[in-house]
Amino acid sequence: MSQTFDELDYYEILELHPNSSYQEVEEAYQLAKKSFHPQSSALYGILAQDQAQDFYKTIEEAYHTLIQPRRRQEYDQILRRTDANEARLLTNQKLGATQLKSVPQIKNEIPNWALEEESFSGAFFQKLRHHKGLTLEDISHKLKIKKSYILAIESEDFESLPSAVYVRGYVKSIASILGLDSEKAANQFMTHYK
Amino acid sequence: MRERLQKTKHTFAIGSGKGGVGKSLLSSNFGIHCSKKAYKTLIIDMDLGGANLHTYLDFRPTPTRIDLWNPREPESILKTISSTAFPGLDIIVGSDELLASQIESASIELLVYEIMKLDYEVIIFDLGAGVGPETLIPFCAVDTPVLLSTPEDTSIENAYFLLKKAFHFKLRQVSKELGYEQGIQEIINKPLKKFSTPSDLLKYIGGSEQFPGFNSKMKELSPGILLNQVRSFNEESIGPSMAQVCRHYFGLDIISVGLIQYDSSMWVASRKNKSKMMNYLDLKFCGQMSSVFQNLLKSVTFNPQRNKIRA
Repeated sequence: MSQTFDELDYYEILELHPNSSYQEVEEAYQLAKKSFHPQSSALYGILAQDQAQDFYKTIEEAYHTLIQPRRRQEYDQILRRTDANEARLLTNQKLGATQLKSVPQIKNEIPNWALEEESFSGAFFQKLRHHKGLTLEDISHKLKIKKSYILAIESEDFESLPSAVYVRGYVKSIASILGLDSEKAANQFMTHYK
Repeated sequence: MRERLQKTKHTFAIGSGKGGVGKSLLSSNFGIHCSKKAYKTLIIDMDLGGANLHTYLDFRPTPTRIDLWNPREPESILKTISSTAFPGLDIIVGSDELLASQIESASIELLVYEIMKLDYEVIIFDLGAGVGPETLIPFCAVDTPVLLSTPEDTSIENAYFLLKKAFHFKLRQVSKELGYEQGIQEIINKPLKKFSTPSDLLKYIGGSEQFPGFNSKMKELSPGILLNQVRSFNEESIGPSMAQVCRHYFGLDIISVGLIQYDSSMWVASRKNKSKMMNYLDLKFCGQMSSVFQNLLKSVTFNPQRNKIRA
């Protein structure tokens, strides 16, 4: 655990409310990962590199605990009766240390060809997903969205999709996991949706 | 400040620690924006030694400058105010002669206090570069300090430096105001307890129960971070990331108030003809600037009577 922020619990680390949804955990993780990545410009002149690296590991740990329902439940119960440091130790003792590699790590960077994207078509999402080495299963597992819906979004097969309000939510989540501006991507994609 | 200012006004300070990141451009346009929204607005150039905010407003320098203020006659502040070409927007022109180092901190504090008492609805301090008292005093005194940076490492580093200095300045100010000077000093000097971040220190103070009200006073210093000259998609997340890093590091409620993209044609236009800037808000580019200004004004709680009058 990072010595710099060693009194923070996992919710405080990701700036979340204890009742946050899994989608909110995912979004908070994406922002925290960008902010505290050892190469992040936002750390320049404020945290030493070893402090940043330690804290980055803690963010990963927080995410992998809060995104897994059983682990989160266990952690919540322990946290109610003890402090942040002990809650982390006891959770790890009971369920084993977090398996950081079991969930695919997503590449942070956005390739140059994707930076100029304006239309955010289904084909674009698919191309970027392939670039990041993610399978349909990875996305479906992470976001709890049916594989068939992700595929339908990527092929713009609108007839196989539910109503617009759901599709918009799915596209936002997919865009966010791919490291895109989710609001802009969803707005643009929905202009194709009929 | 020494007494609670009536909440029919809201005060801002725009600082960066570094020169050339766009403070005066932002401040002048924010002033124009507020005056166009029918707020009676005053903008003050706190650059005591190289002032040029008036130039951004296409305002010819006049003998009416901040130099006319005399600490022995506090009401002389009224003599320093000039009107601009914009209805409802007044300015206190900065000095190009006064050197900040020649003015005592106490006088600057009095000056800021006198300005904040003036009869305006929005007061904007455009701060100079550096971290002297003429920057720290208004930055810590206003309702909404704004920390301006660009995505460059040097700019981010200087912005954080200003924030660190402001944190310590505020810490001293609040300790003194609440009579905790000795107690807080003892905590900071504890040989066995090392605080790795300001946030650790605040958490310790908050948990000790000896200093009621200390942390809530400290949290009055909660700047908005504004990122200027953003050139790529990757840079768009730097402002929110800086705010998040600062929230963890300082333990203060620091938020991102938006970003403004780099627009080379706009800057060329501004150099050719200063008065072009007066039309900023009509240009597409200004959509972002305008949304930043709206964000800043969101935090403002004016006298409810005012809206009735306007309606």
